[in-house]
Amino acid sequence: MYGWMGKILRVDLTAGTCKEDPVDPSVAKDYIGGRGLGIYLLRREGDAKGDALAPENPLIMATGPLTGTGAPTGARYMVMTKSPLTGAVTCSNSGGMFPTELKRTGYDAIIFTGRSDAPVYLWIDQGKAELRPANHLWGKNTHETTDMLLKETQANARVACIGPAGEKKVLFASIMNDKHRAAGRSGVGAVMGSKNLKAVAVRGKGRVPLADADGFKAFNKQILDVFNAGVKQAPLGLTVNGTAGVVMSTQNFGVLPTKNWQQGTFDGWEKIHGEELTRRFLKKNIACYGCPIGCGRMTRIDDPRFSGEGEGPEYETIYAMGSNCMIDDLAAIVKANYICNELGLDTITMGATLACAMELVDRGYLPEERVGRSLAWGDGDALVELTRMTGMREGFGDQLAEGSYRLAERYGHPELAPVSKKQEFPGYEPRGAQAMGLAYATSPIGGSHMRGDPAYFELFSVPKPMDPHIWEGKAKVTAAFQDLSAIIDSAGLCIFFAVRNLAAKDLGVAPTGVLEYLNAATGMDYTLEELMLAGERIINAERLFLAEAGFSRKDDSLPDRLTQTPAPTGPAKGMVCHLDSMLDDYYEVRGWSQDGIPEKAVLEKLSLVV
Amino acid sequence: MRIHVTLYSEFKQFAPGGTGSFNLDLPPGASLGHCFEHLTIPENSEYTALVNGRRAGRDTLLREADTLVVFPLICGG
Ligand code: SF4
Repeated sequence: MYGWMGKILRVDLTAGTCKEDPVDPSVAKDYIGGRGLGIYLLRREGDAKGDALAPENPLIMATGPLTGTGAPTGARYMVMTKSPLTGAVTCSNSGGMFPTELKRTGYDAIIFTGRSDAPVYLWIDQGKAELRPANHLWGKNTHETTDMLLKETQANARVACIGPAGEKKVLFASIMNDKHRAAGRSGVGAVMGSKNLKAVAVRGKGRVPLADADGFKAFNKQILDVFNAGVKQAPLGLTVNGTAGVVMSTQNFGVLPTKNWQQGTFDGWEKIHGEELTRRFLKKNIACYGCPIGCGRMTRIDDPRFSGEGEGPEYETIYAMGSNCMIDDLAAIVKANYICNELGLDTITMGATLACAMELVDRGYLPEERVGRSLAWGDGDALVELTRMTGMREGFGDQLAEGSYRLAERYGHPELAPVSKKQEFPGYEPRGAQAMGLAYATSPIGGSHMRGDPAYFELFSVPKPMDPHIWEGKAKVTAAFQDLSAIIDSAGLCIFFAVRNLAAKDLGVAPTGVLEYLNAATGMDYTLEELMLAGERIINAERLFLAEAGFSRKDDSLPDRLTQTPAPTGPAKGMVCHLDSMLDDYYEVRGWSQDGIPEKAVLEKLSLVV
Repeated sequence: MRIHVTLYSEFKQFAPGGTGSFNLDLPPGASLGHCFEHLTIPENSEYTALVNGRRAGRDTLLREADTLVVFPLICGG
C-alpha cells in the first residue's frame, strides 16, 4: 500500500499483548483513514450502547494517509472512542510531532481494548511494540511524564499521555502529546485512564511510501508557492496572533460568548485579544510537523501572581475562560490554560463549566459554601484555583469534573448548561451566526467547531462570505462543510490550511487539493465524487453509531437561551437561533428521517449497513 | 454626512491622527469603496468591514451616523 504503512497495532490491555492486523485496502479507500478508519473500527468492535469507561470500549488512535508525508499540515491524528461525557462517538484531533512519529513506527493506527491490572505504557520502537509498567508515572503530570519517558526510552521519541485528570476520569480529560498539543475533547483521556494506560511513546524512522513521489512533490511545490505568495501579500492572521486573533472578529460580529452564553459582546475583549497575547506573553511561534502556518504560540508568564511556560492559549480557551466567565485577566487565563495542559484537561469544557457554575452562584442556585470560596463573574484567581482542583478532583473540583450539564442538573437547572449532547460549545454565538447553531446541534460529538465549522463562511469569509444572520439556505452548506471536515480529518490534514487552500473556492467546498494529494500519496485513483462520498459515508457511519446509542432529533438540540431568548447586545440584538427550521432542511439534505435517522436510500448510496 | 470609523490592527495606520477610532465626513451617497479611497486603504487589502455590525463590501452605500469597523481577514478557531 502507498500512503499507508499497511498495519494496525492491536493492544489488548487485559491480556497484556500486542498484535498486528493488516489494513484492508478497500476499507482504506472507502474510509480514507484517520477519523474514517476510526469510525469503521469503532462500529466493528465497539458497543454503541456500552459504558464508555468499561474495558470493552475500544480506544483508537489513527493517523491518515497524508500524515507524515510532507503535505503541509499533514501532521494530525485522531482519537476515536465512545465518549464518557456525551455517550456519543468522539473523534478528537491533534497535531504536533507525535502523529508523524507514530506512523513512522510502521503503524497507521492503534486499537486499545481491555484494561490493565496495573498502570502501563506502550513503547513502540521502530515497529517493535511492548507494554511496560507505569506505576512510577502514575500521578505525574503530562510534562513530568513526558520528560521521564524520554529519559527511559529515547531522547528523540515522542509521547502522548494523560495527566492526573485522565487517571481520575475527569469526564473531559484530554490526551496530551508533545506536552502541549491536545486531543482535547469529550473525555478521551478518561477512557485512556480507565484502561490504566498512562502513555504511548513512539520512535520511528520509517518513510511513508508514496505512489507517485514526483507528482506529490510537484503538487506540494505548487501549493506552497501559492500559499507563500499569499502570505507575502497579506500576513495571515493565524501566523501573527494565532487563533487568539479571532477575538476581534467574534466581538465585532457580536458572537463572542459572554457571561455563560447570555450575550455575544464583552466589554473587556481588548484585554484578552490575540494582539495582547502576542504583546505580553508570546515567546515564539510553534508549528506542527510540516506546517507552513505555525499557529502555535510558545508563551511565558512573567507576572508576580503566576509563573509558567507553555503553549497557548488558543481562541477557544480564551473565550471559554475569558469572556464567558467575564474574566479580562489574561495572565490568569494563560495560567489556567497551562494547568489544563499539565493536568490533562479540555480547556473549552473547563472554562464553560466554570462559567456555568458562576451563573448558578449568581442566580442563587449554588451556595458559595458548596464551592468553598467566592465565585463571582470575572474572578481570575478562582479560575486558576478551581481549574487545578478540577484536574485533581479536589473539593468542589470533583463536581466541576463532571462537566457543566451534570453540574447544572445537580443544582436543578440543566438549562444553564451551554451544551449539545452534554458537550460544551466552542466560542461562536449561534444567535448571531445561525449556521453555527446547526453545526453544534448536529455534530456527532456534541458542541464542537472541529466537525464542520460554519464560522469559516459566516465570519471568516472562507471560501466565501455568507450572511451570519440568515438561517435560510444554511443546511446544505453546513452539511457540505461537515463532509469536508470528515475528509480533512481522515486524510491527516489540519483544517486551517486545508479549508483555505485545498478546497474549491465555492460553497460546495469540493476538496480538490486534498484529492490531488491523496491520489499522489495513495495511488487509489479517487474521483472527486468518490472522495466526497467517502466524507458523507464517514458522517453517516458516525450517525449510525449515535442512532444505535439512542440519539435522535431530540438530542440535536441547543439550550433555550439560544433559541428562545433574544440576544440582548451587539449586532445580533433581538435575534434567536432558528434551529428547528434549519434542522428540517438539514435532515432533508442528508437523506435522514425528520427524526434524524439515516434512511435506506442514503445508506445504500454509501454502502453502509445498520 | 458623518460616519464613525474604527480601524484595527494593520488598518490603524490609515487612521488620520493615528488613533483607530474617529469620525469621518464623507459626501452623501458615498460607498465603502469611496471611504477606503479617502483613507488610502489599498484596493487589494484583505479585510472584513462591518457597517452597523453587518458585513459590507466595496459597493455598500454608507448613511449618516453609520458605524464602520475594519479589521484584517482572520481565520482560526
Ligand atoms: S495550522 Fe496550526 S494547528 Fe494546524 S498544523 Fe499548522 S501549526 Fe498545527
